[in-house]
Amino acid sequence: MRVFLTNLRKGWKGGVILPFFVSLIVPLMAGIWPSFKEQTAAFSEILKNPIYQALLGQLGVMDMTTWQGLFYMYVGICMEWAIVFIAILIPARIVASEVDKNTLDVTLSYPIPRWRYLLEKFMVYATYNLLYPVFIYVLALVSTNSLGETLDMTVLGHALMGFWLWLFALGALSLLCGTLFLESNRALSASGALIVTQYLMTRLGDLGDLSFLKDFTLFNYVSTGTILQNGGIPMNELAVVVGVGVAALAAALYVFQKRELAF
Amino acid sequence: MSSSETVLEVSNLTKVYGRDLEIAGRKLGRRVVGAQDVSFSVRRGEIFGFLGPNGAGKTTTMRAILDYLHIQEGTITVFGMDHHRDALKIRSRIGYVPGDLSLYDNFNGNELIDYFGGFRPVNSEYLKELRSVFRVDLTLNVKALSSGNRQQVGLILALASKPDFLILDEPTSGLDPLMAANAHRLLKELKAEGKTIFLSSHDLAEVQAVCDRIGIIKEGRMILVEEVENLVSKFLQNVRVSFTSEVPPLETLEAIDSVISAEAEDEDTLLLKVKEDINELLKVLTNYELDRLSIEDATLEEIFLQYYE
Repeated sequence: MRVFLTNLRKGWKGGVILPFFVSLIVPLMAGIWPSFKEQTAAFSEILKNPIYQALLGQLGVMDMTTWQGLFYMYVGICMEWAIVFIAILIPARIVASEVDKNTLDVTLSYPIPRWRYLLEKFMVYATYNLLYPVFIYVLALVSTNSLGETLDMTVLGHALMGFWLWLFALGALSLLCGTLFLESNRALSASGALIVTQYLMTRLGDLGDLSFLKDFTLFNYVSTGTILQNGGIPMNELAVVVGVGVAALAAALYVFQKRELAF
Repeated sequence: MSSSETVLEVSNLTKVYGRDLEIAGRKLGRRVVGAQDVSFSVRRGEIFGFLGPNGAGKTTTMRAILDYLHIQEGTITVFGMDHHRDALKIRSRIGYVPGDLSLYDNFNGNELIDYFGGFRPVNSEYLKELRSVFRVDLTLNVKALSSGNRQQVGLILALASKPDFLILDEPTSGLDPLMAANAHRLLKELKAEGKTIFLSSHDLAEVQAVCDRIGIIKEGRMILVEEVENLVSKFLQNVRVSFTSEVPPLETLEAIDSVISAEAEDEDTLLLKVKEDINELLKVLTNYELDRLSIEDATLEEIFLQYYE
């Protein structure tokens, strides 16, 4: 676990600061909620626009006149966008940035299996991603209590777990791109294309006739909207996301173990 | 383990990068030969110098030994183990300094020693000695170090476990003369303890100072493997000859197999470069009246240039 523990320690600033800043959306919303509450009726009318409905997806069915409705709308959208950027930018560069900087040359001359090295570095990413659910959960609890509103914390726990599962599965796909291309620009392009396409397919899928597109995107599974409607994570959707994530991670480890490193 | 035991055995190593690919008249890929039928061995307790011009195949060979590259043909064994199948066992006994050394910028020297020491345990006593020999501040982050100091950190990392076999690609690149001399001394001490060193360098004085044998690779092919001492005495000599009357035509002398080049220094004196057997030349020269004849061993640099060209 040396690679994991050392990189966890060395990467704590980036690992903590980013989730912290993303989570600040919660107290920000809590701050505006008292004055916003009076305008929610008009706001709900605006959100009936099909473009907004497509952007919101299943979150669009929420009652925006309640704290819970507004919370999930903002947190849902904010986290989806954050996940797109995080999953593209970080895992694809776990290997590729080392190849760019040529640091693997020394590291891989030591007796550690390549797959294990990569797995431990991916675990650092997955571990720091746990801070998103933790920070949001804590800040949501504090904000809700201070506002005197209600929020189902069990469902929130499931929704946040869904975010982490997206980060894991999409991150594993991005990692696979990194091991296949071994160069930052190409790896980022591939992972960006893969993840942004899935995100767009989800949004387009919310526009009437194109709903079949949603079957092919991870953003359609364990989504916040589904979890809210279901009261928890549907097990079949959990299996899809975990299955894709584990398969992509296994493929990335295999590729990195077996491939030639002609950098 | 006897001193004649082979530590590294490379047999018929062939590595080709890419392939020729042409679609609609456009060249989309090119086949590049990294190493072609390379064979040599390195014995326990020797320092083997691996030389050749840039792009000759030195780094390809080193990376193939480390199992970074997939070779098309040939076999590589280290300590009698297959370089691919037993890669982890081999790596537990080697130290490596790459030619283009890069270390983690956000680590300091001590952290790197600790980090990598978790994979291959350091020899504490020897690490103390290394700390005293190399004058790099190991508390500074790598990004704050000069290239020479980074190289020192790289050498400390490679040597810290006192490995049985060292693979060093231009190990003293960027070091000041004092540090380079210290590195040479350490390598000789390790050799005296029976450690084996496979070293690539463009610094011919370094090669002459530390290596027992050398191999020269050119255009992916090994063209010479020889003891350094033999190489200097046997392989190339400079012959300066002055004539009292008739001077033989240059073409006559160049026709002799062992004469590599002949040029007129002035109207009475010729300068000849002679490879290996000098007797045939001397026989021809006896047909002329000589004023003066001097024969000198060529420098190692002249020998290498001969092969490089």
